[in-house]
Amino acid sequence: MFADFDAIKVGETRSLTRTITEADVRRFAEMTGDDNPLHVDRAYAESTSFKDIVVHGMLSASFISTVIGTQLPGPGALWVAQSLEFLLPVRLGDTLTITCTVTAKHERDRLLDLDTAITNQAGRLVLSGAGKVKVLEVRPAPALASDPDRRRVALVTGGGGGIGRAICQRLARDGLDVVVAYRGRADRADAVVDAIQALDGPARAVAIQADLASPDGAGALARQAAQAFGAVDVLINNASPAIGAKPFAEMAWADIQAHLDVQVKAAFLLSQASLPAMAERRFGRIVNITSQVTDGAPTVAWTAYALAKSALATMSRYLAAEVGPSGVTVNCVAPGMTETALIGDIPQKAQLIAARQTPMRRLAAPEDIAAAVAYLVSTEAGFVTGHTLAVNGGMVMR
Amino acid sequence: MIDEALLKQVIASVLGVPVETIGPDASSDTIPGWDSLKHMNLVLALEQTFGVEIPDEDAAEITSYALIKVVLQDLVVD
Repeated sequence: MFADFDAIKVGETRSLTRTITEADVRRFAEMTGDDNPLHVDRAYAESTSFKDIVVHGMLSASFISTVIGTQLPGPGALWVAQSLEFLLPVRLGDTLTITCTVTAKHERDRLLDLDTAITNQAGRLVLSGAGKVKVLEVRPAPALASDPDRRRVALVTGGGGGIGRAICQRLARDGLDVVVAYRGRADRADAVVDAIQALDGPARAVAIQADLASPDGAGALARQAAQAFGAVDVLINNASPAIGAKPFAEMAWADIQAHLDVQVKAAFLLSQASLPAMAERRFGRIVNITSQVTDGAPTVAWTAYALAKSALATMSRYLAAEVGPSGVTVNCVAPGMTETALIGDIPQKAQLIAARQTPMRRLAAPEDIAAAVAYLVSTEAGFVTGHTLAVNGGMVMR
Repeated sequence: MIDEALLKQVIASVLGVPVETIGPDASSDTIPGWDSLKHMNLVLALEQTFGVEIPDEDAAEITSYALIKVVLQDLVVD
């Protein structure tokens, strides 16, 4: 059989042999309702010029379907046309040889022209005709990672912070080796590494210092991360400066630049550094942590933060479209107000109101965000890309 | 600091529920009779009892015991 259209050659031929019995004729008559006495009533048949039972022409012809469906081209064949000429009657007990031969191939439509012929035990042609068969394309099974034994490696920026810590610990629990990237608080990053090492699992963790706002910060981090556990399979761009709420009139461009440098430029550089190895293994996951602020009503004075988050969201969609063919997915997780230090400056009243306005009646916990990330980086999410998963308790709905 | 026992009493009496039902997690989700009409009466009663003026933007939002407490505390301090 030919699963591969390209492997089929003109002149290729396949056949099968089959002896026609009275039971075959009876079943064919039952199935089709064609109980013409010429086929089923010997006395009647003897009274005609044929002098004996004639097998249904289509019963013989049906074995052409058998050759096409099982041998040439085999599974995935779609018989689209057939001409038939019944040259001689087939009798009960005749042994037929049904032969199909490829006479032409039509690449664009994946069509084969077949010569179809049936001969009897005396070698005489009882049926001739020509068929057309389409060779269907079969969807290949999703490609799995080339090396299932190799533990995947995740790089999480802002890995020491509230959401970052939860993501690191969740991914480690899911069996990934984790590079915990941090800027200033080595103590917090080390605590994350300690917590991961205390897990009763195989995952390893290492903390790497990197100032993503500096010109070579991202490049240096990518190099060191690769040295730690090998090429990065999963990149989580989570780092963000403090929100730094400021009225527009008081803002300097530097305020915006600071957010763009860490949230967008670092994500850009780290993605660029990680993609070649991801593409080589035909597996990669990039998850960018954005925010509810890009969707909902603007929070006045959060311009710089929101602007960078929006840019990151847009970059994610464009990158997703570009790297999809190489097996890499790019998605965003957009948290609502989450109980971390980042919202420490938000008055308790505003936090309580936000929780009250949320259908789930609470703020997000870092673990909620981590669970969404864990899904998006999983093998099961291999067909999810360019998506933003909102984890906001329904506070903002699209 | 505001008098929480007094606060619970005001809420319970306006909403027509036993004062024991007003715990720290009480909200319009947990108290069936806390509808928009009762809420309006509640805001008025709170203003009278505590001698404050609850800003319009807060008035509609304070639908939980915790929020009422935070908002009143801010106003009483101010």
